[in-house]
Amino acid sequence: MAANFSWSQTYGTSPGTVAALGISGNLFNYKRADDAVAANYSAHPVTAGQKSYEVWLRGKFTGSFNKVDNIKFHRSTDFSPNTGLSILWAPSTPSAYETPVTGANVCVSGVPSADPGTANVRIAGVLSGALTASGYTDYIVTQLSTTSAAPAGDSSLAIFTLAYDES
Amino acid sequence: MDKINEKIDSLLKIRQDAMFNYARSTSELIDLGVKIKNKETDDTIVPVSFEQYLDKYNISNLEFEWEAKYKDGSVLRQFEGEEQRNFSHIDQERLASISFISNFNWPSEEGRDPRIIVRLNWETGLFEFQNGFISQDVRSVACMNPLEGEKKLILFSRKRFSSSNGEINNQYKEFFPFEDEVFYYNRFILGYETKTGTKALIINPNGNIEIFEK
Repeated sequence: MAANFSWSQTYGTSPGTVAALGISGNLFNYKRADDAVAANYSAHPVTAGQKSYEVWLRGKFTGSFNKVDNIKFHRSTDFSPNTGLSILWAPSTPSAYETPVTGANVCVSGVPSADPGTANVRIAGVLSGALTASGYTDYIVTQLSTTSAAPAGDSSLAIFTLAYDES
Repeated sequence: MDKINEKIDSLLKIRQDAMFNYARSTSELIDLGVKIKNKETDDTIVPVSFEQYLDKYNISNLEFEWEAKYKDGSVLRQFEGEEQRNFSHIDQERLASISFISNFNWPSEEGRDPRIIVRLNWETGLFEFQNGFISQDVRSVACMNPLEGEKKLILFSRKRFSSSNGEINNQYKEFFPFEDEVFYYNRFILGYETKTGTKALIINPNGNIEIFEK
């Protein structure tokens, strides 16, 4: 398989707990709870006008490879419909974990909605960084932001994409 | 009464359009070489235009694997039994040629090797092809006018994973069978750079080959 990619989530009070999410399926839901459980979202709803807790993700690479670099992250599809809903992210892709919050913090702009063309996720603090052994990217932090126009109920699906170069 | 009939017809149209768009977009994704995996069934849809995927594909999950041939006739493969090699294992000073070879069969004449092989002759700096779709424009750049000077190998794969996240509203869930899909797309880049420039091929998972020059 060469390099193995999977998603990892860190949650809880800093330094946080690391949870392996895998690669497929509904890996997380935006909600008003800070944990790595996708299924309990209905017990912790985001009320219209509120923000969810931030979700602190990282790409994890294991296996045999020379180099993994050029990490790109974007949202391939938005919620359908997306009335009153927007997904924010932290373009700084921080190296250091912070305890997730429901307010304004590191997620300061909309998550890219198209392939960024060049790396937009850092490794060890730099966009040109590379992994030469098993390890993680820096944090990809996203957060759901809603307005009072957001309808009640589940938000439908959004597709996120991560791309990388491997030699 | 008429308004109800209009509403039904309108919904039938929306539904028919949606099903057509679903079928067409799925077909086009597959033709591009995107693999769609359903988490629940573990089924992966692969291009039907290829005659078959080889057993090797099930081991590496890669559409192409590289193979380096050295001047002394020895061969170094990316995957050999339990062993996996990467870029750092290739001795560029001893290299005679390096190839990406498909893990699926390309529709081809009987008696001919049906795999796609894209080979870079390391000594001449020229590319050679077997099967696959290569336009005349790509051939003219890849097979002529090699870059002068000492070569540095370019060999990597560009991988893309897309996964759906979220939940469908309960009132629609029973009619929505498409959750938990993962979309894989791999491309394979083979080429070289010298002090004067870069020449590389981008090998798409559907067998289409593009050129990259700088």
